[in-house]
Amino acid sequence: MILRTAGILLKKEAREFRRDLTGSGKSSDIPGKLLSLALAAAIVAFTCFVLKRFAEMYVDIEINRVSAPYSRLYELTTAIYAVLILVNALGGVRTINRSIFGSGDLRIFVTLPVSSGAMYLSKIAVAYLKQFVFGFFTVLPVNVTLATCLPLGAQFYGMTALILVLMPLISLAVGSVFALPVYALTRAISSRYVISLVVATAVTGVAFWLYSEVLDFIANLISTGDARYFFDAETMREIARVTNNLFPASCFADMLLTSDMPAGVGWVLLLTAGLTAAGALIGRLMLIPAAQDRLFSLNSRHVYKGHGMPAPRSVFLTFMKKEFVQVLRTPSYAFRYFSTAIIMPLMVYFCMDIFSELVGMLVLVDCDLEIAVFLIVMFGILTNTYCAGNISRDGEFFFTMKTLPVNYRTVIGAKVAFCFIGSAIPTAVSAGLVGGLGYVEPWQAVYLLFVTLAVSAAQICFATRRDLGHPRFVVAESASAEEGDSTVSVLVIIGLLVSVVIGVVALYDGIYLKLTYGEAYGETASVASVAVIAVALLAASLVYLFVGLDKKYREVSGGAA
Amino acid sequence: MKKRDIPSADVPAVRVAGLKKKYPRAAEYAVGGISFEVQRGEIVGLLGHNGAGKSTTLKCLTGMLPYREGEISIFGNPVKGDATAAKMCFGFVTDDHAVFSKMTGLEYIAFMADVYGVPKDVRESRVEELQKCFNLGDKIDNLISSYSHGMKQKICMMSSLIHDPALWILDEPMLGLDPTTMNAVSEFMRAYAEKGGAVLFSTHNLDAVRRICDRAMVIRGGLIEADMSVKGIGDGELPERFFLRGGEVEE
Repeated sequence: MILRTAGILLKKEAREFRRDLTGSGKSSDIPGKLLSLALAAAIVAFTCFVLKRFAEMYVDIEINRVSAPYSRLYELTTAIYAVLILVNALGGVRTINRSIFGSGDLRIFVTLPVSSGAMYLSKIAVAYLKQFVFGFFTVLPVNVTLATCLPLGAQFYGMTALILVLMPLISLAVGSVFALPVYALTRAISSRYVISLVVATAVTGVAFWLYSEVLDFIANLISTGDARYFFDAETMREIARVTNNLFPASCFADMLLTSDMPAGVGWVLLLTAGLTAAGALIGRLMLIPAAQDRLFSLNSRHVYKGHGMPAPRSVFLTFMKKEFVQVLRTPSYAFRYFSTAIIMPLMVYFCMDIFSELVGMLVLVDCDLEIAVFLIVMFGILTNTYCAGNISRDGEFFFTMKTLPVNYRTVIGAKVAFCFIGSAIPTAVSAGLVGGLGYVEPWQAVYLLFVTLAVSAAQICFATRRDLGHPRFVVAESASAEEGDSTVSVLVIIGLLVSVVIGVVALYDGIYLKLTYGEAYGETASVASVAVIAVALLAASLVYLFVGLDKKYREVSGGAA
Repeated sequence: MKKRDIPSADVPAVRVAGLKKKYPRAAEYAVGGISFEVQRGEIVGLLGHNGAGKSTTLKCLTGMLPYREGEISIFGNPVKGDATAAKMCFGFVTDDHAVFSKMTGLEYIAFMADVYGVPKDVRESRVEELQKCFNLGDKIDNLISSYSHGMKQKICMMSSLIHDPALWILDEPMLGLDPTTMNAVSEFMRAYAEKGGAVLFSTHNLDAVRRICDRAMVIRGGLIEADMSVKGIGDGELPERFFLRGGEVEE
């Protein structure tokens, strides 16, 4: 009976998964999917490139003048699989949480004669497919990269296929075991808006810092030849000892590389079976009831006693406050509005450090201003995606606002102004940082601020007008409601193109014209051309936003007839 | 308080003349050319089946939906174009409780008070007065997203009245209200009309129309089929006349 019901539910899940994958649904975001795919491919390609360089260097390391490339590869594979297991397990927790706790259809199923086992089975089957895709993008490229370092036989490729099948099971089992505590923790934190914002910002900042540090460390080891000194005999013995005992990652390395393959396979199968049984038991007995409980209970702290009636404000400030409250009390918006803005100067700083050195070495011309223009514009655009849902975010309340005695300029103006504040502060901090660290002159920092603010304002005007033309009003009242529109992806794609154009123009002027016609000429041309582009973008987006805005605002209609 | 442009008593609270509304890509008019007036001190019920055109009429009236054919004015202020003056004169309660749910009830009322420019002392006494009728109690400090259906209805009503409007428009106001609150709302409407306010609401609730309204308009297929006084009408008369067709109870 369970299997029959699970089969029916699975058909429904599979139909939704296929529609989601192929984009045949009405809400499909083709640009977004292509962008995500391109970004994932870029990240994987870059990681594999760095890994290959590192692996080639690592397998050549000699201990007491004795080379043992396959032992080195074993150590490296074990270490990499430890990371892969962790990454896939985190992905599993996320997938399980989304599949079960984020599922709206449970609301319907709980009223039908459907057991929690059948619900769990149908959800987990689709989750497996998702994790398989995730594994395909993580495990396979890493194994292919490792295989390019040393000649490896059929065992390696056969076991890679087996790992691709088993890794999603392991990650989902771990996900099922940890989903509930992780869910309880995130729920407890998410009801404290400021704390969750601080935590999310800190975690993202630390992750970004770690990523930069690791990359910097590897790049240094490879480029300077310090590896020989860093990986001395004592360190290598310690690495060998740790990797040999790094269960279960060492079992995967055994499966792929050593004659202990049967033992490795046995351990991995045992682990998979044990974890899957535990995961299924927990999933069936606890996850579904917990998800049901979540469906019909409050998701957040909801009492704000003692504040009394607030003092009167101007209508414009009232609308600004509404935007602020919406951001602060919706964790996903808070992250997009505040956290990315806080992280942006960090990103500019790290990249400025790398690019300045790199371009300086390559062309022997000081192009720090041009690099700063490119980086601040690009990161400004990438982090300023909050404005993409400026209209949709209001949901049905947008129509209530239309019945209020408020001019459309106030409603739209407050949204634009609020987004601009969120964009202007990190932009100003970034420009100040670049100026303060001596990459550019003080006047150049002011110019940077002017140019990047103009581009940010243009982006906000463009996004707001586009969202007004294609609103997809948020209907969910969940704490993490998100727009389902393609505005974010379109905005990011156009933004990236704009930043590339500005970057190319700035660097062409900064390098070619400086080398050909001299420093002063090149710098003037660079400053003038970028300023013209920024002003033109701003003017065009202002025209796009304000021409016919009144009519467009009135014509946006929705709700039931 | 912001200035409200309410002219002399001979100008009706609502004047609708030849209103037609067709939704994009729809084959037929949702509202096919209706005209009516609502006078001050009058409570008018707009009766009709699902899809009859009640909500569309109210949404055009409040500026929520644009319309091209016909004229609507609120206390003589046109709704077409910049309807700010017209909108200052009424408070509107939507049928879908489309409020800003990330605010607490009190924050939402303060938001509406700011929009209508209600001074601090007035808004405080007004909230006290409205609390007596709608009785949200301590729940007024809770996030609206945590409210039940009926509580959302109450906060919509309270916020629509914070500026003491001269016209109160409500779309299906009795849905989801408990009997006690329904009775309190009815009494509030009567007292409001006796003070000179006009009330226009859509409903399916025939009993509410009989108890509260001075006048009822029956709308069918986007047209007003009947416009009658409800005062002195006998029990069961309205349903028999307008909701029974061919022996079938449609409502």
